[in-house]
Amino acid sequence: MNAFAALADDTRREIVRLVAKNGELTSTEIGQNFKISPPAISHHLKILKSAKVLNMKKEAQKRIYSLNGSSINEMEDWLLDIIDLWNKRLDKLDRYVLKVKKERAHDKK
Amino acid sequence: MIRNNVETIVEGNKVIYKRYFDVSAELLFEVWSMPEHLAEWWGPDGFTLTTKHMDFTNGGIWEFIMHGPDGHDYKNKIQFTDIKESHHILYKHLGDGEGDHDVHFESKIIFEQVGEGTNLTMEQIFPSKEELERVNEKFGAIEGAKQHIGNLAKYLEKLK
Repeated sequence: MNAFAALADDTRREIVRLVAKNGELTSTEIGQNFKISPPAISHHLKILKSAKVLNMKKEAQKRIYSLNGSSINEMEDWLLDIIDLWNKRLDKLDRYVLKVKKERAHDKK
Repeated sequence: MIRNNVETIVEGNKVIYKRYFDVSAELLFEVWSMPEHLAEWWGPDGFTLTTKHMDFTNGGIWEFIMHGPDGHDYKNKIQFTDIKESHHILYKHLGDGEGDHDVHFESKIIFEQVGEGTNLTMEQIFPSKEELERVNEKFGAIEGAKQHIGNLAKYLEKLK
């Protein structure tokens, strides 16, 4: 599953928000914020880790999660690409309609 | 050329573009509604556009191909859902037209005459979770994630 698919789930988005806000959290700390069972939490964490949305490091018995900035950046880039395309397109539209306007004004003379 | 009132806002599952054009709403609407006009501005630089067919009516379909500078062709299919002349155009992106449930996003274009010129507002609305469940994994997933990028971006700002 890619990062986008991983984030199409409400619980997983909440987990990501929580981790982003706190910097680092253990799986136990993450679980305390949800009403769902620990196995369900660990399933979500596994998906987020394999989609490279979260990083995980082990310390003794603890699994500590943090945000993987590069995946998030990838998604932002994707959205920015769409915005950029439309801004360029609207620039082109601007140039084009002004040209049409000018031509029509000229034809009337 | 001085251009004012150009802004892009990301808000939840919407991207909003606002722009002022120094032409009448009538003309601006016209260049959105005819294939020969669209061919002149729709494609990114270096692209050309071929309209297979275009039915500019409520429920009508516009199928077109964008030819990239690298020789790659990109098929597109758009359905117009609500058109009011010189006032607004609503349409849905149906992706490449290969799949029935391939909805990408909806767009709303609103033309507002102000004196000699026109304020154009365009809203892109990305699919809801329900819609996402229907669409194929690749596109659906990408589109769905975008609804929340705004929120994530805010958190990321805090981390930087």
